[in-house]
Amino acid sequence: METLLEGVVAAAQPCSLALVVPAVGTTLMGGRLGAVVAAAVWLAATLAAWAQAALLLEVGGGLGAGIVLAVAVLAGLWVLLRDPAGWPSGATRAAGGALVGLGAGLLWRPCVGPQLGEVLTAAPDDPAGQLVRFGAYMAGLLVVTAAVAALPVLHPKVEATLRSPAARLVGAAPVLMLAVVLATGTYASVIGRLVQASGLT
Amino acid sequence: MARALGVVVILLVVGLIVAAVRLRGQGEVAIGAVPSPVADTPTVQPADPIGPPPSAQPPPAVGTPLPLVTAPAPTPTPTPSSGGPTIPDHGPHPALVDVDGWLQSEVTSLEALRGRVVVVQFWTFGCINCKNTLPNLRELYAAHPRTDLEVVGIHAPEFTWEEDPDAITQAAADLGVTWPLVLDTRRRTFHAWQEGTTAYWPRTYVLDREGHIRFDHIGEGAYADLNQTVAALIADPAL
Repeated sequence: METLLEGVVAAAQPCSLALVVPAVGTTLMGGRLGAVVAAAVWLAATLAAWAQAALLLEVGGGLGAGIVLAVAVLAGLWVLLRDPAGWPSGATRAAGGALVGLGAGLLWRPCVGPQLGEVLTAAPDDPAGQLVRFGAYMAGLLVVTAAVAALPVLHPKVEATLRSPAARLVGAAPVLMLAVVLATGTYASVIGRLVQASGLT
Repeated sequence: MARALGVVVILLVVGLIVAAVRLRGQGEVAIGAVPSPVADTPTVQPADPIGPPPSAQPPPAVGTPLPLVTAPAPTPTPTPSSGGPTIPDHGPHPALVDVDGWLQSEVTSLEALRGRVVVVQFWTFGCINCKNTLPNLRELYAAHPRTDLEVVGIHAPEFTWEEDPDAITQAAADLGVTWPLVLDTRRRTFHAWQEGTTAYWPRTYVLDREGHIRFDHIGEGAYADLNQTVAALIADPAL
C-alpha cells in the first residue's frame, strides 16, 4: 500500500510528467474504452521500465533508439485516432495504448522515494520478486488515468464532449510531444521547460 | 450500473490522492526545516588531471548522442571480519568521467580522498527525493571528523535549468550542502557508475579507505544501513 501511495505522490513531481501526461492523453483518446487503454498503458510502461531497471533490457540513449520509439508512439497515436471499421475496437485501442506506454515507460526517469528505492535497488538481483511492488508503484503513478477513463460513463454529454475533435486534439498533443522528445533527444530542455512553466520546481 | 461504477472509481482515485497527500505531509514534518549555513562563495576548480583515465574512448563531439558507458559490475564479495558486521565489497569505484570541475572542495579527485571513508551521492538540486536525503547526510557529515569521513555530491542535472553552476552554488547554500561537489553536467559519470540505460536520482554509495564500493542504494531511505556502514568502516579499518 505504501508503494502505491508513493506512486500517487510521485505523479505530481516533475520527473513523472513525461509518463503521466501522455498516459492521460492516451486514455482521453480511448473514449468509452478508456479503461482498456489505461490498463494497456500501465502494463506496457510497467514492463518496459521494469525490464530496464532490472537490467533485462538495454535500449541505449542514442538517437536511433529514440527515433524507433517515436515511430512506435506515433503508430499508437494513429491507431487511437483512426480506429478503423472492422477491427476489434478494444484490441486495437489497447495496442495503441501499449505502444504509447512503451515509449513513455522507456523515456521516464523517476525520482526515487524510499519505497521505489528499495524496489530498484533490489531489482537487478531479484527481478521477479520485485515486479509486483513495481507494478503497484506504477499503478499509483498512473492512477489519475483510472479517473479519466471513468469520465465517459458518467453522462452521455461527457462522452460526447470527449469524442469531440477538440478533446481528441487535447489528448493527442502530449502524445505527439512525447514522440518529438523521443525522436530529438530533447528530454532535458523540452520537459525541463514544461516543468518550469508548471511551477513544479 | 456503469455510471455507478464510474463514480466509485473516481471516488477511489480521489481517496487515494488524499491519502497520498496526507502521507507526504507527514513526511515533510518528519524531515523538518533546512538550515541555511553561511558559506563562502566557492569557485569552480578544474578536475584533477592526475588519476585514472576516465574512459578509453574519446569524448563525443558536441551534439552527438552519448554512448552508454557501462560500469564494471563485479560480484559482491563479503569481507570477513573478527565478529563484526559483514559488509559486501562491490570492488573499486568507476572513474569520474568528463566532469566539469569541483565546487566547495580543496581536493579535485576521489583518489585524493584515499584513507578516508567517502559517501558519494548522485543528485540534482531540483529533485525532491534528493532533497529528502539531505537531513540525514548533514547529520552524518557533522557526526564524523573530516579525517575519517568525506561526502562528495556529484551533481548530475536532469533538466537544462539545473546546469548553471551559479544556480547549483545557490541551491547548495540554501539546502545546507557544505560538502564538496562535482559538476557532472553531461551526466557521463552519472551513467558510468550506474548500469543500464536508466540511471536514478538520488543514488548513494559508500567507498572504503581503498576506494571500494561497500554500500549502494537507489533513492531515499536506507538511512540506518548507510549510517551503520559508515560507522563500521570508520571504526574498523580492517573491514
